[in-house]
Amino acid sequence: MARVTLTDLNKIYPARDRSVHAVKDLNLTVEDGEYVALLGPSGCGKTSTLRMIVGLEGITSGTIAFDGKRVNELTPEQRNVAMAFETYALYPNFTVAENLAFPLEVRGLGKAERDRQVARIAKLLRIESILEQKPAQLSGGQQQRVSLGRALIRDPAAFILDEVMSHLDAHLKFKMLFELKRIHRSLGKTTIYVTHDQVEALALADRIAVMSNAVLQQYGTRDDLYHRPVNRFVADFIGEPPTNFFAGEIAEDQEGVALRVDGSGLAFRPDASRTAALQQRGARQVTIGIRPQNFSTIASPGLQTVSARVVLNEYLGEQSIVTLEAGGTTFRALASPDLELSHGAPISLYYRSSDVMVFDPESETFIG
Amino acid sequence: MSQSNYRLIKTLLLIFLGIWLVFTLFPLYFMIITSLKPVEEINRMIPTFWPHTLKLSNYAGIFADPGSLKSLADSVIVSVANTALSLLLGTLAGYALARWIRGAAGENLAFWILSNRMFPPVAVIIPMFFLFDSMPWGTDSYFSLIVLYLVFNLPLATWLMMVFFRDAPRELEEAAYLDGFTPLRAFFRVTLPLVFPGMISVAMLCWIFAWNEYLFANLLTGTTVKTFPVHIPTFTLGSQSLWNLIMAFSLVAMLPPVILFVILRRYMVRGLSLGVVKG
Amino acid sequence: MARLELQHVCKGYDRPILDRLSLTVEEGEFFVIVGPSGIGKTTLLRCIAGLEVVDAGRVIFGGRDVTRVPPYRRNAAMTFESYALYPHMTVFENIASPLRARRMDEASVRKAVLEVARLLRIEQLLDRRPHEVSGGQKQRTALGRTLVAKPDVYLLDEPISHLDAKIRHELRRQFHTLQELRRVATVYVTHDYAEALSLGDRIGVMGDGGLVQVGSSREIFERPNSIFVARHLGQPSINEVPCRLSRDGGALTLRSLEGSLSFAMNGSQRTILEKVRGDVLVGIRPQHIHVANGGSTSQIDNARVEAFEALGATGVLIAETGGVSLTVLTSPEENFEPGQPVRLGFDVEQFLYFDAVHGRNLRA
Repeated sequence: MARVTLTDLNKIYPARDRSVHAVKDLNLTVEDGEYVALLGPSGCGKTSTLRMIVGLEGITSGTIAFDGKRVNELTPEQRNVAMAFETYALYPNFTVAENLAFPLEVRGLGKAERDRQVARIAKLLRIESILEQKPAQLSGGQQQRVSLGRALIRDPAAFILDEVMSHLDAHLKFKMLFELKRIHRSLGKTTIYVTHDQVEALALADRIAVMSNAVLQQYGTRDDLYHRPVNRFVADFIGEPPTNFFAGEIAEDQEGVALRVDGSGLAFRPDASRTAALQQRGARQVTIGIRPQNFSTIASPGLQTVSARVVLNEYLGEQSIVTLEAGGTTFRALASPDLELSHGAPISLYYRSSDVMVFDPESETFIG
Repeated sequence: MSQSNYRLIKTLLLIFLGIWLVFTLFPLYFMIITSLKPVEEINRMIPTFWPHTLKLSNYAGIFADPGSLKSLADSVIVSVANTALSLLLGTLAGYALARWIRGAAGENLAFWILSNRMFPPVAVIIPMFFLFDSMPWGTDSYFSLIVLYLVFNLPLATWLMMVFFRDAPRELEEAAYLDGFTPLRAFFRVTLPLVFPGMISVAMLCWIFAWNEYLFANLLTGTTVKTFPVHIPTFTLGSQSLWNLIMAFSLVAMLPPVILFVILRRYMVRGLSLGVVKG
Repeated sequence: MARLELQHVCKGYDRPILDRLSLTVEEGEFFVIVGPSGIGKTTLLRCIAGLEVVDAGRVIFGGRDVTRVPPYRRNAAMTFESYALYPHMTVFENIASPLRARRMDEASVRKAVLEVARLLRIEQLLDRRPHEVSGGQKQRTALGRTLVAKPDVYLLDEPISHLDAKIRHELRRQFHTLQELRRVATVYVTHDYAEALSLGDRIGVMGDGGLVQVGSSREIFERPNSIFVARHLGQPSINEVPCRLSRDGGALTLRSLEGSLSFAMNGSQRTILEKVRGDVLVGIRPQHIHVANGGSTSQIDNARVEAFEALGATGVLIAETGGVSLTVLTSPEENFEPGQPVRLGFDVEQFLYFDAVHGRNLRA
């Protein structure tokens, strides 16, 4: 097990016409036994970072240290990290047991010891029944578990997972999320997990590093990212369905400070701490953000309200996504599937003022 | 791998490559200098590695013989005609094999076609001689060489085109059908452009074989038709071979393939790796 | 009238994939076919397009029997799952392709392609090659090629399944508003049930070589005709509890076959199950179980937390009660630790009951 520290890490891919600066000045620490996700859209630098940690890519500048010891010059084997790949990369002519045992065989472990380790891992991953089969006979989920097992069996310092869920269908992915969590809890290994799917990252990780365009945007717990996003990108990227954003300005009325959306009658009321931060800045124009799940159709004391008309009601089984329109602005809210809403119907929505997020329109940083 | 290890291996590799390069390029170097030497110099017991006198008129000399130019022209005629024919028939056959032959029978047929390329050419020389001799145009004709070279080029062309067509996604043709193109129009509009780099490399391979072929050309032809490999040994003075002229002429005959390869280099690489890597 | 009809269509290779499948899609209807991967959705679409010849049955476009008509004369347009864009042509030429097949004059082609490109907001990409544009843009190009043809039927094969979540949302929205697709019949295939529920006027759940259930989104989600349908729609999957009916005195109770979970059947529930002999498979959707903070209707049980995940906008709790593990939807803000006791409330009147042998919905 190891504490992984990245200091001022940079990666530049040289090219004939224009080199690509894939990772810029990254500073990050993964504590011993922590599960950290590197999250971001494709091209953000998360895969390059991962490959530098493992040792598959050279480091342009900066340091990577395991437990304080610099590992920049070490090979992947010397660093003692194990990696599970997106495409599983199982050896097709070996059985599952042989695939699992391979890393140990390469290290010269005796047969009895190898069998013991294989049995231990197979039990953990619940793949005892398929030990004698070949990869071609296995389902996607089983192949993925074997791939994980082969990485885990070595007892590495850190466990690296590269988009391992991207080829699984929704039902299987759901099951595997719980499995991975359970495995992490029982093994307690430092795990670094790369994905572009925020649902996976938020479900599995202790802390999440959100990256965009080679730069680390925010590094924090699910709660930090959700309630205190550091900028608009994070607020936009985190959240399913996507967050609503409005361009607006600060105004004052008889009830206090309101954020009026440009060109419509919509107004949102931020809570006291946000209001104070806004006033301290002397801001006038703002970007307003509020998540679809922050709206409720049920009134309750202490909640603010907005009115709009229904444009579209998408019934999704467990919930509905309602597209609403007010004064030319459209936005989305989550609602109960039992609500029968017809096109054009007026509706009142209720929200907590603490859920209203405010961003500076130019720098896009979070205010408050 | 540490830095110093890496550098050491890199240096060793460079030395090895250097030696290999000298080894490979030396014959070419010797050819060039020989082609520039006068006759006296080539007959020395101990060969010189740098010409004492430069006789550029060697090159003019080879064309003094009218047969030289004719032989180059004959080679062009035979090789280009054969390449065109191989490519045409090979593409059509390859497409058929790639798209419509399924199962063990289809695989067997395709492999049998390829296997024709595998036996030594010498094995067919006698039957081929008699076959063409019994034809009205005889053995010494353009036709006999063009058709004969098909025996070797057509299986290769068919097989390679079959592989290239297999790699061209069928879905693109299907999309063309749904657009409203008949299979024939879809073939020319969608499929052929996709395998075009492959066709270039197939054409190059067929052409190089036909261009350099000596055995059959020598045995079947020599008078009416004389390709350049057959013409090369005729540079003699009595019983002595004029190596300087032979080298000069060979270098001239080498130019077309080299030039073509340089021009079409991009297509060759793409074409040859098309069948290897997917996606 | 541009209605699409499939009559008892059969298609199989070494095993049957489509088995006497019949379907009618009305003019202007957006019909979504949903089902697990590999079930034959793409095969069905290919049969409608003419890329596969059906073994038996008929395919009819607007009254015209096209069963024996080759694809290039059928006048159907399809968006392939892999987009199938011509790599050696620009985006413009790709979209223009169907019009070129009809040998339309250049001016009309330009006009039609620009119109579609503007509609899909890709007019600035017309000079690029497919490998120079992003996944979402490729998909819109493929869609453009399908739309410009003005065919007799639109076929869309998993058009947005390989795209990022954000682009998927945006494109889903576009499918809602694209009036062009309402001109004739549209058949849309997906494995994502949420997409199906959101987009379809009617939805057909595919299974066993045919359409197992066809109906509106509410119908198939709230009144699935079999456990197969119920299982396939919903994330997390519906809880399945095999139970036995026991009649003690006047009371009707469902008792789980494993463990000791039991539900008292009253009122309308009782009427449904009164005549049933044999075991019952009880289906309980995760949103119909609540962590009881006071507000549930019928039954409350003590349970123990097994696992909890916050997944997006909801929290998923796996709790064990009476020896049975159940999945429950909660708020994502919760914080449950394994082993923690909770109280679960059940919306018993929302339960679904299936025949334990055939999986048929007993309420039907």
